[in-house]
Amino acid sequence: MARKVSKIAQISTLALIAGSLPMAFETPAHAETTIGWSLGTYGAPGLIDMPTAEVIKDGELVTSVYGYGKTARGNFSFQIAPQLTAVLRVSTEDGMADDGTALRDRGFDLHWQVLNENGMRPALAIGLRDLMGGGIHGSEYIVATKTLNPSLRGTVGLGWGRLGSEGSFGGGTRPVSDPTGGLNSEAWFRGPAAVFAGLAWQANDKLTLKAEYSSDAYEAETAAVGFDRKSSLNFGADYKINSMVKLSGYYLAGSEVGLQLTVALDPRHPPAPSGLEKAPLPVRPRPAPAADPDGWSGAWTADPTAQPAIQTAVADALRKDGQILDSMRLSADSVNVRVRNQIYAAPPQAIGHTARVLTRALPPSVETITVTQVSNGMPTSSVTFRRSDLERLENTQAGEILAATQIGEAETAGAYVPTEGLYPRLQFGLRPYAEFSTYEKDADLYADMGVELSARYEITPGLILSGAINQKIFGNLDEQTKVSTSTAPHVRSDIAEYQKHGDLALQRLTLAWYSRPAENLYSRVTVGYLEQMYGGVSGEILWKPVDSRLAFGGELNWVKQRAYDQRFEFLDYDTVSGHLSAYYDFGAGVTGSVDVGRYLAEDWGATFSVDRELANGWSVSAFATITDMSSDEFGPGAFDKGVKLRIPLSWATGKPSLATFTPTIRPYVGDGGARVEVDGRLYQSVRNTHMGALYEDWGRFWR
Amino acid sequence: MSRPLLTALAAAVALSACASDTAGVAQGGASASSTLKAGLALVMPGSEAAQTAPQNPEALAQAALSSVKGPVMLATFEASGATMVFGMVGENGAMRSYNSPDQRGIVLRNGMLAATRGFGEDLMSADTEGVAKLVTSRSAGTAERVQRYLDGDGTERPVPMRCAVSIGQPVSQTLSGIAYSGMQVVEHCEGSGAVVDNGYLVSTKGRVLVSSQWAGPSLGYVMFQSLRD
Repeated sequence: MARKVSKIAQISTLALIAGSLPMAFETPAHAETTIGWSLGTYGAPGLIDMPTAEVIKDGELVTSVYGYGKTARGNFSFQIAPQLTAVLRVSTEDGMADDGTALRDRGFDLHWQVLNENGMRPALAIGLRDLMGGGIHGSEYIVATKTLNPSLRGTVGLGWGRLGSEGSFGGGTRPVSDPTGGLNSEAWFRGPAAVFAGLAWQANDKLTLKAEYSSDAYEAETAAVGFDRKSSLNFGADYKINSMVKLSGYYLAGSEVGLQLTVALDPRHPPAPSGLEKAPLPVRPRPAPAADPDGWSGAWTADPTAQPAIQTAVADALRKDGQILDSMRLSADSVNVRVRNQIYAAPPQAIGHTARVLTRALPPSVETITVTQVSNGMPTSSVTFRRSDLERLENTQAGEILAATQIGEAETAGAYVPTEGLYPRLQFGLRPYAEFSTYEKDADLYADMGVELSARYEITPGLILSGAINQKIFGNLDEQTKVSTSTAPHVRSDIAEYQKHGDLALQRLTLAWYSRPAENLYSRVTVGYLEQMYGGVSGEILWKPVDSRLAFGGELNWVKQRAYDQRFEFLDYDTVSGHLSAYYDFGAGVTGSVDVGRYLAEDWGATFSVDRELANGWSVSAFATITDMSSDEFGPGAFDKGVKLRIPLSWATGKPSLATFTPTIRPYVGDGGARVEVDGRLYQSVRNTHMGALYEDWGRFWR
Repeated sequence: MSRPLLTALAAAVALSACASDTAGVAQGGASASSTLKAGLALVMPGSEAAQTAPQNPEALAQAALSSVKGPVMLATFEASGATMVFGMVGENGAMRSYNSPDQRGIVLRNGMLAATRGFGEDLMSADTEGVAKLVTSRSAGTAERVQRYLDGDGTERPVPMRCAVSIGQPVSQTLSGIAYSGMQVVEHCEGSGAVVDNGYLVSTKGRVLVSSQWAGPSLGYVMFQSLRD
């Protein structure tokens, strides 16, 4: 017995997955070699203050908090592509403000591994630290890292800016970077350069020891707070507490002690096993023709009670499964069901359940089974199976049924029989919420917690009245002292004024109408209190063929700014904003979009976004908006940008759910490049039932 | 700005903490492990034979047989130590789907485990045609087997293995109050970093009566006992 158990213990999921990779999937085996052993104090792969040429695991999201003396940094690192790390950083730098107090700063870094380690060739990376702040961390580097033996890695690099401040040579004077927060590209790789180096040694599974020769002179800190740089050598140790959490200690410059806590969320390693749910109903194969001649001949269609009985049975089975049968079109040889998936984050799983339910309920003559997904009342895509394929391929490799399946445009017309008693449909929800103040230079963080009551009343499919109201329970958002000094119209920068009101604040109250005006077209009109700060009318149209990577959209809004108390009153400001959008699905879960148009402060420009989604529903997207508003007028950061996350609840619990947690992280909330927030934007509502997303999630079909 | 992220972390940690509790199925405790031992003795040559089958699974088996119609399986999960009863809910050719009262599922094809559902990190599908032919005909030989799982990212990944099937001893014994007699057949598989030893007790008609089969990295081995075929 014991022998067997230990054998099982050896078989970790990782070994399994790695072992099976060469079969079909893209990651080359040597890609593992330069996954970083540690993060530096700036949040990118590194030793201590010096970077390495390593990367973080693809898709990983790492939060690290670092401090020495009275200086602290919080770094949020995303591996946005296998070779590209982005870091958002907030920091408090002791004594570094102009008046000698602590400087509250923020920064954005990019780290790009140009070459992977391969054979004798070291990994090579270049990086930009604080690439748009003009702040005290501004620096650039080129760095090489080589695995010397399985537990030892050496790093050598060349740094500019702050990383070229000790032991530097050549380069003349580094141009002064733009203090307003635009891209300070005029200073990149300019001025004196210096060499840095270091070693990392994995002593065992838990402990990594690090040493580096630093090219950072700590000039500003020495001048401001008497930082004592006795040595160019820094030492550090990382202790891995578990697969998510690491604690690091550093001895800096022969005089200071630093500590760092790192928490890594790997979307590919969910905290709970995925799939804690009810087993699906199995396929029921049809009886032999001799056993049910009427069923096979289609004679059953003459019986007027047949269709209602079948529809009721299917609707009941789907309801138990967490889905809603909107309507059905049934003939002697085919069926098309319109279904709302209310439960499974991966639509193929919902479609797989529906298809199996249908094999159990339909007379044998029905051979063609079409499952149409419905989102906000709009049929968005149809997946068609031959019933005999479902019978033949049940519980086989998911790719086999996919190959026998047709995915196409949903019928928008036809003699569909609606399921009785579904509409009007009223839903209520109550959930806790947390709201936070925006991060401001030289301001504290405030927060409220409370409950949100929401309701949704679907009058007919696609015509939806919905609203949400917040009641604060406790918090201190009302103590914010921030006053917007923006010279632009205060379209977003008065956010603190809104946040001060947490008593029965109407978050939204809208009437929305979704429809399918023509083939490949989707439309939305929303009227009412659209969001916390704006009410008005919003109209949108989207062109998106089911099998197209490309989609186009247009949106036009007339909005009026709401009163700070978020009841029914308005302020004076109103405007027309709108966008033309193009979306492209690059495959492998990566989508990009460009929105060009007029923003809330009547500034014109474009928003660029890249979104990366895994089959388990995790997504990370980065966006930037450049408009004709001057960077002075926008304020710190020069233009609007940030990162949006979507973490599915099902990822965290292993249980099926559509609920997601979707924080947006913006380094600064300014008045430029601001768009009105409207629920139910079309591309997001439609995309995950279209071909690219269905293919990505198809592995869950038989689950 | 940092707070939403920290909240997310806290939520993820908290949720995971409660989710891990729900993974458990009906706990069988010590008696389950002795059923396992007794069952293994049936299918694995050289294993220590248990003297008598334990009381609890016998009661469970009898209760299941009297309350459930049609084919019934008893399954004991080595990883959790739980014993569960499964009743057949569907039959598609050689494939039989069984569900437990709490709606978890196992799928067997010719007695070979073809899928699990609802346990988390389930066996999505298995190609066992080659080994099934050898096992049910009680003949030695080698064949391929592929088991498939969803990885952490949600993509289906195959685990191909090469298996050697060999024949053990004829055995007659009572387990959970039911008398079984058949031939021991063992299957040793290697591949993709996995080493798997499955064992079967196969009747003269080629039915798998009792078996110990590897379901996957998180479920481990499962002991299946056919209470009513």
